[in-house]
Amino acid sequence: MATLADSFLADLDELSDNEADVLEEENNDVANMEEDIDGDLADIETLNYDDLDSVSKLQKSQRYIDIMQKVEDALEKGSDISNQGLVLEDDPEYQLIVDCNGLSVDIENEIVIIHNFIRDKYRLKFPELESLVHHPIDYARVVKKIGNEMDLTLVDLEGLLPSAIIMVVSVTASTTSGKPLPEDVLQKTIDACDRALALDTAKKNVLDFVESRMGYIAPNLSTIVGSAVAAKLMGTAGGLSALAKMPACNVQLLGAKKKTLAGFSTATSQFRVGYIEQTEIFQTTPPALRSRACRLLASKATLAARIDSTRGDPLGNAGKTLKEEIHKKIEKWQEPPPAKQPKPLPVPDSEPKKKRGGRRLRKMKERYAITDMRKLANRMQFGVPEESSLGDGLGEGYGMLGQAGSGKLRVSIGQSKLAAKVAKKFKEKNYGSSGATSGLTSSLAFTPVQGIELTNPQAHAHQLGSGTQSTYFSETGTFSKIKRT
Amino acid sequence: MIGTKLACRDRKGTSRKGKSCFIKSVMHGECNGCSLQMDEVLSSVAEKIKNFAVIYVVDITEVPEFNTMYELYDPSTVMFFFRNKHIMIDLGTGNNNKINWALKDKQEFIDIVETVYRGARKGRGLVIAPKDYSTKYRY
Repeated sequence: MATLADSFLADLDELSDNEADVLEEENNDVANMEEDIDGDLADIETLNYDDLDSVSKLQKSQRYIDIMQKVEDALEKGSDISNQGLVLEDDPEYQLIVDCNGLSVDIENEIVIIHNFIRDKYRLKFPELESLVHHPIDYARVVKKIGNEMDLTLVDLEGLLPSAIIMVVSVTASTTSGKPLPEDVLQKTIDACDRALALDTAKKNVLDFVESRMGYIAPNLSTIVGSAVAAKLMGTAGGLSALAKMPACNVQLLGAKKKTLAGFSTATSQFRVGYIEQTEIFQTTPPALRSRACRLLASKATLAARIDSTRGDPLGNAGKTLKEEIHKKIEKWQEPPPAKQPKPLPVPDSEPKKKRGGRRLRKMKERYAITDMRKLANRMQFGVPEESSLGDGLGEGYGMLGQAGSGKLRVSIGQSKLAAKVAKKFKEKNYGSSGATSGLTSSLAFTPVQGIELTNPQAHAHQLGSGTQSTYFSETGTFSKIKRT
Repeated sequence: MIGTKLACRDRKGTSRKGKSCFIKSVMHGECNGCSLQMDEVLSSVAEKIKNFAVIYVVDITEVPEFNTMYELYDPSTVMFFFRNKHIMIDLGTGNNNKINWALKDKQEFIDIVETVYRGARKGRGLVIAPKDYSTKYRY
C-alpha cells in the first residue's frame, strides 16, 4: 500500500505548477484524515468482538483515502481536455479513472459486507425486513430511521421506499417476532448504517467523476449509451478492459435490480435489464420493442467497449456508426408490414394432388382392395364359356371361379376387412341395445349360430369392467351410469 | 360502350397459347342494369383468373361482323373460346353456346370458367356447368 501511495504522489509531482498549492492542501487533508483514523482506532479496541471495523476496512485504507481526495479535487477542477496530446496510459487522470473503477467495485463489496453486518445485528429486532427491502443502501436508511422503535406508525418512511413497500413493512412490523435491541448494539448498528451511507456517497462521487471524464476515456461507448450509463457500466464491471471481456449478455444485466415481490405475481414482472434501461435510446423505443432494443444495445455497447479498451478509435467515429446502425434497426422494426396483395387463382390442374403414402394409407386401401375371388371371377379362360348366376349367359358371370382348369384348388372368401368393420358396428347396434329397451321390443334375438337366443340384459352392464376400465377409448362402451350408493 | 376496366381488343383477338379467353359483347347505348352488372362481375374477376383466362369486351354495334354467326342479339353475352375453338357449356337453359344473362355471383362465374378450362384442356368441346340455370336466369 505504501508503494502505491508513493506512486500516486509521484504522479502528482508530474502535474503542472499551478496545482502545487492544491497539492499542499491535499496533503494537509490527508494528514487530517489520518488523525481522525487514529482516533477511531483507539475506540475500536473498546468495542466488542464482531464489530464493524473488523469486517469493514476499506474506509481506513490509504488507497481509498488517496483516491477519494484526488477525485474530489478533480471534480472541483472541472473537465480538463488539454491532455489529449498525451499517450493514454501515461496520463495521470487515466490512471485515476482506472483506480476509480477498481475502487468503486471495492466500495460495492464493502457495502455488501456492511449490509450483512447491519442485517445480522438488526435481525433480533426486525428479521423480516431483510426480505422486504433488498437494496443495501435502502436497508441501511430504513434501519437508521426505525432505530429501536417498535411501533412503526410513529416512523415516517416516506421517500425512502415506495409506498407499497412501506405498507408491507408496517404490516409486518406489527406482527414481527423481534425485540428491541440493547443500546450498544443499536449504536453499532447505527454507526454501520452511517458508514454504509458514507460509502454510498463516496461511490456517487467517484461515479460522477468518471462520468465527467467518460467522453475522453471511452468515446465510442459514451456515444452509444451516454456517459452516465457508460460510467456506471464501467464502474460495475471494474474497468474498461473488464467490461470489454464480458459477453454482451452479461453487459445487458449489469446493474439489474432484484425485484421485491411482496406477494405480487411474477407474470407482470419485467424482463431483465440493467443500466442499459437508463439510456436514451432505450427510453425512446416503444414498449413492445424494448426487449429487442435492450439486446441490440448491449451487443453494440460491448463492441464499442472493446474498441475503446484498445483505443482503436479515439475520435469516437465507430461509436457514431454503431449508433446510426442501432437507430436504423429500430426504425425498421417499427415499419408496418407490406400491404397484402390479392393473389390471382392458380391455373386449374397445374398443381398435381399431393398423394399420401405410408402404412396407414395402405391399411385403409386394403379394405377396398380386390379380393382373389373377385379377380378370378373377372377373368375367363380362352375358349371355355363361363358359368353365370342365372344360367345361359344371363346374370352375373363367374369367370374362372369353380372351373376345372383354373389351377386353384379352393378359393375361400377370405377375410374382408371392410366387412369386419361393418359387422362389428352391426353387432353393437343390435346386441348392445338390451340395456335400454322400450316395452315393445323383445329380448329374443336371432343369432346366426345358435338360432333364437334370449339375450341377458345384464350382460352388457358388466362389459364396462365395473368402472375400473377406461370407457373413454373403449369400442363397445357407450355411456356408463354410476349409481350413488 | 366498351368497358374500359377490362382488357380490350378491337376484335376477337387471338388467345394466347394455353389460355382460354372469353368474350363479352355489349350492345351500344344499352347501358341497362343487365349489361352493367355483368361488366361489374367480370371486372372484379379479371385479376383473379388472369393466370388461365383473359376477358375481351366487344361492342357489337361497332363490330357487327359476327352478329349473325353467333346470334348476338342480347344486351350482354358471354362466350368461351379456347385456342380459337368455341367451347359449349351445358347450363341447362337449352342454349349451350353462350351465357346471355347477367350472373350475379363472382364465385359462380369463376367456377364456370374453371370448368370450361379443365374440359377444354382435355379436348372436350362441351362441358357441363357446375350449376343448373334452367329456371333461374332472369333478365
